[in-house]
Amino acid sequence: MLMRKRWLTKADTRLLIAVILLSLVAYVMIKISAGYASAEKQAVVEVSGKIVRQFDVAEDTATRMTIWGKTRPTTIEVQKGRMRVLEAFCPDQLCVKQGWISGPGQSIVCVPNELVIYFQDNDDSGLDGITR
Amino acid sequence: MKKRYSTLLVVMGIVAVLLLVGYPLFTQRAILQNYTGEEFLMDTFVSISTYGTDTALLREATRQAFQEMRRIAELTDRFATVAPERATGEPHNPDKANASNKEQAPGSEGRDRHNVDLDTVPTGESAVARINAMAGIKPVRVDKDVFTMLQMAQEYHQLTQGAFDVTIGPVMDLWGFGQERKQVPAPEELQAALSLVDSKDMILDEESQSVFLKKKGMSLDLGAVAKGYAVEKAAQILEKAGVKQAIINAGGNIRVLGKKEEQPWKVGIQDPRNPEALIGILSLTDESAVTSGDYQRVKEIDGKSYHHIISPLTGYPAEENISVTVVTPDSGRADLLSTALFLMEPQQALALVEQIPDTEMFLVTDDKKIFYTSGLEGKIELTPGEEYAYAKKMAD
Repeated sequence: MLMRKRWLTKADTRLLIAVILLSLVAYVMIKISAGYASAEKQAVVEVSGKIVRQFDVAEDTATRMTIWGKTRPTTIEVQKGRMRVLEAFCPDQLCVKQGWISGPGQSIVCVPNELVIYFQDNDDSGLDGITR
Repeated sequence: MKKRYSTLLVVMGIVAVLLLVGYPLFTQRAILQNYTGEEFLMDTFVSISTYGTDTALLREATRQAFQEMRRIAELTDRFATVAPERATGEPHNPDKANASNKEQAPGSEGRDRHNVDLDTVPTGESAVARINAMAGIKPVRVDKDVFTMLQMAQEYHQLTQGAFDVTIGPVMDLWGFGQERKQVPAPEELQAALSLVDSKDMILDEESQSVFLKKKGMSLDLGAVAKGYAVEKAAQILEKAGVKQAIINAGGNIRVLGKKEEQPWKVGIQDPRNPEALIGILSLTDESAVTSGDYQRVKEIDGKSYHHIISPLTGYPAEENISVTVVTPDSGRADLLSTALFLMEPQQALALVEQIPDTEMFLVTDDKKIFYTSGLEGKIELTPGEEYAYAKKMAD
């Protein structure tokens, strides 16, 4: 009886609770941050192989932005979790004609401007590429 | 006693927290590193993504792979400018000057150690542009890669009974893809250009490794071959450098090395009529998938759209199929075959592809019927929209 009482003093108990709480907090924080990251999509804009813009896209994100490609500006529109090239100054207009993209792995490439936009894949279950 | 136990508890607590927080980070770091390089090459966006434990090795291998792709791009660029005609010989061969003189004055007696008069490609110049410039004049000695590509192209010219032809240059020029030109070529113009299209008039001499286009005005267009070949060479370089897991994506021309963490790589096939959708998902290991589609490069002329896969038999865009995907280990072959099969009738295409070992095909016809070869069974997850229908599956 006596031994037992000395084995877990008040301080010990407090410490034990603190440790357990800390672990729980850490665990929950990791879960939340992971969940948070995959709940939203990340859109990435690259010019000449370098990332120039990176932003979260939620269902209600609606924006337009003009980005300078290698030679000319390109206007990108984001709406309802999708994005497209709205306007580009290139002869073929292939990037504009491609229309909307919405999922990870999808991308729009504008070759004359060396500009690429795509959605980042947040979890590993997605596609590694698309043949087209 | 009390002190020892609380110390123990503190240590245990710290270890527990470290494990919880650190474990996911630690395992990810120790297992796989990813190194990705991206470049614009051959009119497209190329990404090489490598996986392994040694980042320095991955980076160096990727650099070398891009270097090789740039080399192939340079060799096959048919719009490159070419220097004036020159003769065969070592770069510092004194005979060279004599031989050149001979060219300028055909009547004079020039010395030539070779019986055949050959042109060579100056360093850094496009071999294809050179061959085209020398059409009807003289054969051009080319490097091994260009020769191999043309041999493969000629082989498929025969196998497809002319449906695929690498000498389609004059016709492609009339349509002017990649250029500003916005006119449908006149039928007479097309007929004239078509009379210059025939791979039988492309003479490949194995011994001297030279290429000769017999008629003046003939020209090669390696648009259906070069990209895939370059991707294949890049894959070989990665492999040689010790990379075991990688995916190369050159504008939808895909080649994978090994598997991605025990699982095959997942590669979607673009729905030809809906850019947001996939029509199937392939599982690939150590192989390539390339698609030819009528939606890839399109020109609008007077409200009608024309795509870039032109039939060497008619001179007009082929209209039987809207998308053909080929899965085979060699990416050069996959690239060439996807175009060649696109140009054929679906049934003919199926018949041909079933003869080629280790080669599978997924084809969508103009009336939205899907054909695919039996070897894709178990390798593909089909996800077509409602408008598509399955044609009779191929039996073995």
